[in-house]
Amino acid sequence: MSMISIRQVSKCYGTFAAVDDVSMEIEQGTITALVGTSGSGKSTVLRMINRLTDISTGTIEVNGRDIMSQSPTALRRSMGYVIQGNGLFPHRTVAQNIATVPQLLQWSTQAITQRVNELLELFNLDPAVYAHKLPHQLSGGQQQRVGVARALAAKPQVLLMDEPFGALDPVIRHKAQVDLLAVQQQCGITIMLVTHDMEEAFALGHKIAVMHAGKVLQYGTPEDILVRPAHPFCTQLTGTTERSLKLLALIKAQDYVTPQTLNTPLTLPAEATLREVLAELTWQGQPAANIANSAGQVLGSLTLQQILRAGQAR
Amino acid sequence: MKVALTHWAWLVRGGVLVLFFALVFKPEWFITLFAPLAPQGAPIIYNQGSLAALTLQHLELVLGSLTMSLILGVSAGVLVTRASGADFLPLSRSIAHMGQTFPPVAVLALAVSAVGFGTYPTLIALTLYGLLPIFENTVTGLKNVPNSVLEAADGMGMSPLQRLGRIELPLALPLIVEGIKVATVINIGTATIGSTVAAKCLGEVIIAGLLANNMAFVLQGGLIVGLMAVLIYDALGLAQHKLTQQQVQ
Repeated sequence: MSMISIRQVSKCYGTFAAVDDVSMEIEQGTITALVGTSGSGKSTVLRMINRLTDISTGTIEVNGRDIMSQSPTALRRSMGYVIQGNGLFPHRTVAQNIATVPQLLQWSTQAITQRVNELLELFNLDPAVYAHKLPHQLSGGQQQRVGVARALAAKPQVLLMDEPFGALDPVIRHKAQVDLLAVQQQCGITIMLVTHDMEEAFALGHKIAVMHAGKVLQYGTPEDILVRPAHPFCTQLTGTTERSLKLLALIKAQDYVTPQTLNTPLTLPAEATLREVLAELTWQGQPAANIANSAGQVLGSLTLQQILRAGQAR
Repeated sequence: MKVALTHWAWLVRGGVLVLFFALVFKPEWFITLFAPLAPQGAPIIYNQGSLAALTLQHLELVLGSLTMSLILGVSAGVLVTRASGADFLPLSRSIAHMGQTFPPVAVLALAVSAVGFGTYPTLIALTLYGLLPIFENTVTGLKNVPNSVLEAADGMGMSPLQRLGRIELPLALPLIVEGIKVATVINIGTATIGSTVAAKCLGEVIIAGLLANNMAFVLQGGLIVGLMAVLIYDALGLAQHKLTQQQVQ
């Protein structure tokens, strides 16, 4: 079922079309990454979904409901929104920041406190320590987590993120991406994320939409974009170097494993990507590894040959 | 070291406060001090009315005009920082600046011709004088709120009024208080010329002294006004410090 339907949507400023006839169906419970250079219209598409920017023509439906049939404030309170540089309210404590939307929706004080603590724990921030701190007392990574917690406070079905990790340094950024994936899997929320970073799109997106000059050039799985680019611009964004490695990074060992245990000293986790398995095999000088799930049960094996075949152009 | 300094600050504050109240309620304590300044045979301590009553009226004048400047200045500041009011920003800026560049005496004269002698022309003049710092600081305070914060407030689903009341004004408050501070000091001093158009305030003491060539009166009036300004400026500074401490960016 699609959670967000974008149908022939355009945004025009005078004769200039910032977004030009975009149509997309976003499946419930997935992460969709909108990628493109600056000025490609990716942020505008996102901002039209919660009506921060008005649609010129076309319709957008969220959860089967036309967004124009609700007031902008009611619509926005039903969705999470995360922006670059987090936009935390500097005069409000962490707890008050997270409580913003529940307060607007007039939840009871008890329900709000409970939800705030729940979210702080979900994001590994001890409520006793962090609830009463002000944003400037937190590190960049912590501020970013509070920003996401605030967006999730009223249990929205849709989360919109505009360059959410843009202001973070690479190490924290990677951690934030892993955390987001975990949280997304845990609450099954539908996420639409804008980024200019193709690596980020590949790391997070179930689907990727490549935008350029207001148009969606290609909308498909990361593998599609990599293996069957619909437009030279998509190739340009993904880059032609290390294509095989990027492809291997998209495949999990558990999805490619041969159900046959081999005599090798190396056992690797099932969630590892083929790229990680390849790297480990190369490093250890082994021709093959057994693959085990988190319970320690061996699912089968992967050989160098198999991995190299998986990374071939198709 | 720092503790010792703040102790000193409180000691000075207390001293100034005691001096102020003594000058207002027990002026006779200062006879020997003022005696050399009064002409032979003339009264040394102001005797044409109660200094306490005049001080209170002076304060009322300042408070009344400040309240009006505050209401006008902040609402104008809010209006011109809305998208719909942005066109009026240059116009309202020049009006507020004009209020400031007019000499106080000229404003008083114009106000007298409009509403007659007494308290009202002084109130009008003082309101105009306090308007500029409060208006300018409100505009600056509101414009200083980071864009990402405004964007987040909108994206969370706050109505424009909720955004203003819960986010923008609280964040602009320290600067608005700074404006109030400046306006208060200007007005405590400027209010003295209200006496020229028959408003009841401490200016009477000074003018009485000037008319009778009695410097003791002039100094008494001047000292009370000056100390009042220092004390109120300091109190507002403390309030402002408390506010900014709560929300260091």
